[in-house]
Amino acid sequence: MIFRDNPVLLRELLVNLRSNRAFTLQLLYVTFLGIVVYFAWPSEGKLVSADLAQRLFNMFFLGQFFLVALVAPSFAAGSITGEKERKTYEMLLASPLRPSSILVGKLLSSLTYLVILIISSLPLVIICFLLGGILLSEIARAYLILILAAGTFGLLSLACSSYFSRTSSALVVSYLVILPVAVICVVLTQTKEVVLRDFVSIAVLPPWTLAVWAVVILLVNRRLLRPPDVGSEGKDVVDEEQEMKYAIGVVIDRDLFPDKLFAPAKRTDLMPDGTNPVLDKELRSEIFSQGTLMLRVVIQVSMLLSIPLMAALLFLKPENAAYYVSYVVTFNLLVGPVFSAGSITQERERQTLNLLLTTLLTPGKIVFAKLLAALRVSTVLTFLLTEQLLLAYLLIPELRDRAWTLLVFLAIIATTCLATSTIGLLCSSLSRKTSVAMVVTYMALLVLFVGPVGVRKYLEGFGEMSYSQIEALTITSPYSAAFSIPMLSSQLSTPTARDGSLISTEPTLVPGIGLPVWAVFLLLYPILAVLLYVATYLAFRIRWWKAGGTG
Amino acid sequence: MHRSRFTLAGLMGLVVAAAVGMAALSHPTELWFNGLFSLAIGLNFAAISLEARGRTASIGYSICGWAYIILNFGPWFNTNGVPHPITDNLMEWGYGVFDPDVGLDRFWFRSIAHSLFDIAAGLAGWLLAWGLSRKSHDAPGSTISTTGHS
Repeated sequence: MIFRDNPVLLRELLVNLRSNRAFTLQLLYVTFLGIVVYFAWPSEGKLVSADLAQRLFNMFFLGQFFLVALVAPSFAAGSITGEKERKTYEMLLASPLRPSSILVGKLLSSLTYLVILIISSLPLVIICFLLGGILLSEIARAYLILILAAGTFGLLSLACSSYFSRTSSALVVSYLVILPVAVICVVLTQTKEVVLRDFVSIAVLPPWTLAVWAVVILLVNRRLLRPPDVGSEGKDVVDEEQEMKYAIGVVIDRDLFPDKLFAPAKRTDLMPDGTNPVLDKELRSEIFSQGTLMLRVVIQVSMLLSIPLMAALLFLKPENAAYYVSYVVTFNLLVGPVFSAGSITQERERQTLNLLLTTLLTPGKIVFAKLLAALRVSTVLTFLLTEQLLLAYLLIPELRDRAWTLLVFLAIIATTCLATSTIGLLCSSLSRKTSVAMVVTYMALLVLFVGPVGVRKYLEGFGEMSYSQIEALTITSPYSAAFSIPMLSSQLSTPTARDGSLISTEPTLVPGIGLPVWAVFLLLYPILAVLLYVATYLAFRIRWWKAGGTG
Repeated sequence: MHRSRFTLAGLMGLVVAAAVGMAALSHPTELWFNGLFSLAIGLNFAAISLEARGRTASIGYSICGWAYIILNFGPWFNTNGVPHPITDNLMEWGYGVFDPDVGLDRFWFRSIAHSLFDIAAGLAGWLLAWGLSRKSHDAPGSTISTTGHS
């Protein structure tokens, strides 16, 4: 019953795998990988060394690993919350199915398509094997890690899905939990120490992964057996005081600093004249309407994770400050869309959008309030992680001498916050469902932020473009912007890092513009944000006109 | 039922404490040592004089804090043959992590690390005493209070 004739599994597989979307996505994926191999393939006058073949294989592995880390939560995090949102959760629990059958059905149905995608890349990886420099055992090891990662990330996302009532909350917490696990896994399995790499991949990861699976399965099983959230169907407003009674770890006190920056106290008096009511409601009530669990988990995980990162990237190796900024940017990439991508779609889902459109508020005022609220919450949460950066610049002499780089880093982080919020809001105005808006926002952000970094890595190894031309392709990525800032201590007479390695002193200028990547990034996004805001306004305005016409 | 809770400001305070410790260890100087050692001693004294709600816990902090100072900064500290605590091994490992090629001063590094370990030992004592007092307070029929008044 658990595997064979599992109705949950059968239903999900039939719905998901028979869709045109599944076929199209797989075709696009394999075509993309084929193009990557095609352009790296040796041709007349172009030879590929064993080292480059290894590099291509590593790119394949890393690309697929991050695909697993990104896609597994997007499939699994909505598997139980989706039932709650569709109001079928209680019916599912009331059916004669055992919790273990539901769990296995949901997990396998979420991961089957992902595993099919991974396996469909195998022929192309085998083609890379023909280039030499790669062992078959390496390919087997890589695929073992990918399958284990898919299972672990899927289970963790499923656990989050069982604990939260909204898909967006489950998705962001899943990403945040998976992020450190994925980074540790990549660092351990991609180390150049062959013995350590093989030992970790074969002797350490599988047993630990299975242990994690066992614990998570037990937890989710218990939660499905005795569900405390039955009756709410993911729609009820959580009582803040009641929730705080049972809260563990970080608690949010609206009267304290810095909590009140992102969650001002509830209004007990009348709004003063001229106040934007949408903004007031978004900030003072909306953020806590589904409880504070997601926010508290996000804050705790990100802050606790930032302490070892701060030690390793800012205090031990100050020249690696850009890596810490990348962590902050990644945090915003994950958290920013949660507050913006649901801004307008949630009004639709709650059927309050038409009500909002019939008020005296202008569309411009509504859209601006939505943007400002999302931007404020995501910026404050993201800037909590810049405390570490400020402390490092204050306490470390090498960084103190380059105070201007701190300002540029902070500007990059602020610009990223603006970008994630405006893109999320645009996707929200164009989508019907919050889950769709969130996935589209994440995809757009990945293409803009992470895509250029992957393209650069690929072109550096296999392309024939100059370094400055490659850099010009990365101007939309905050990661590239952060790494384009030269981190050289003025106290050092030679351009060397603390470990003696050479550091580039001259920033690469973008051809045709004559500015470094970070400067172009800082100029580009404010303009893009205005254009995206105008597009959001127009999309919302069209809906407003339609509402007026039908009324 | 008691629950372990802390505020966001408390979490940010933890980050500041970690940053100060890391900054001192990555650039060990006499000034850093003087500052951190004074802080460690000051906290030990402050814990004795604390007569607030967490009296039992502060006594735990003080006992563990002073015990660590006496064990590691006493006259027998540099005597050969005397067994050293496990924190010495941790310090050696930490010294390796902090990249000796940079030329860190081993003496000040060790002294700063001892000061930080003293604060950590005090906090461990604080937590232990707090946990024990809470347990006895929660026990049925118990009249022991964490406020120090029975």
